[in-house]
Amino acid sequence: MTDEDKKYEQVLKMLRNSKPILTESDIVTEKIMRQLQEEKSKISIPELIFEYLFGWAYIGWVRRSMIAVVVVIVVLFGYQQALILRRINELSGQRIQHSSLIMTNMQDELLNKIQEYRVTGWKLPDGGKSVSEKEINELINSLNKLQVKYKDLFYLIENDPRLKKYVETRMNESNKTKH
Amino acid sequence: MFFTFHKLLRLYYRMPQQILIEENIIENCRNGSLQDFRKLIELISPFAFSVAFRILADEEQAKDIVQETMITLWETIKKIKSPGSFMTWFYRIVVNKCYDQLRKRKRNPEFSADDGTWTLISNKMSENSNLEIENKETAMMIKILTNKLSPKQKAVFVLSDLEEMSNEEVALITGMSRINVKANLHYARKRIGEMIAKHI
Repeated sequence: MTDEDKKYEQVLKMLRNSKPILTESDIVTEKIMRQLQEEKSKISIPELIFEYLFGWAYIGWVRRSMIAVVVVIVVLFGYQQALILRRINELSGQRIQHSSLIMTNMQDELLNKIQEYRVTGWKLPDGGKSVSEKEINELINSLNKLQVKYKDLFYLIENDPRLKKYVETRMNESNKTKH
Repeated sequence: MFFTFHKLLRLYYRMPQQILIEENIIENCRNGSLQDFRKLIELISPFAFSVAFRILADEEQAKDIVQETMITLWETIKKIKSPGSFMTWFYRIVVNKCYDQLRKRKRNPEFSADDGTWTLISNKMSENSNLEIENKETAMMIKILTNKLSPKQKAVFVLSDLEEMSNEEVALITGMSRINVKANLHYARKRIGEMIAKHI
């Protein structure tokens, strides 16, 4: 510790030991009380009305009860909002299913079955795996393409008697081997 | 066990100065009891005076600060959110009133230390540092030691080094961050140390 530090500590010690004493504290207290009494008697009518209307806010138990009530209301509000959101999600899901039904507009038996899956639920009955909307769309698209190709092929066969005869012969042969 | 501890906590509010105030007194004051407020004044006014006196280094002004603080306290006691923070609230009022007073004084500077006052301090130090000195001499000493400090530095020095409060308490009372409190205290100590080294 340097000499300067020692001097500083010495001064500090002296000041700490010399705690200021409030002399004539009674007079000070009386002055304060007198001033407070005067101010109390000077309270205006608007202040009194304000005190009457909102004074309860300063009462501890009232304030605590209000806080508790507010917390309950906020929790209820949150719960209600969650319920509403859930319901909205459910409803919006249903709307998508119906709209896709209208948009695809397919009459084929197989496609109707697929659409049934989409309306009744997302799970396939045997595997228990969930099918996404994207996968269903891909399946429908590929079926549509297949249907177009099938129609083209059918048209070609119908218009060419040789090809028609050949196909019929081959199909008969194929049926025979199957049986 | 928990109940007992909780009850004990609720019974008294511990002040930085080891003063205990019954919860009832504060609660009754909040409900408008002037009788209990008188008791509260008697309990806490010496602490307001001590802080104000040491910051302002003027006995009469410190007494005025005590009065003003008590009036403000009465007017705002209902607004205290938790009675546990009562003492911080109380000291904050005192320090803010002192700031106002120091600002007024800044406009009318009236003090300059002469060699005689430094000689007096030297003499007092050489007598005995454990010696208690009178209000007037204490005021003079504080005045010349803290004359070059800003109001914030004065407040931090008084609360930390003279009233022996922790940095956390000082930060709560002055509204500064703990880093700011440390910085202000460091600067105040440095300036006072320089003054002492130069004159004593």
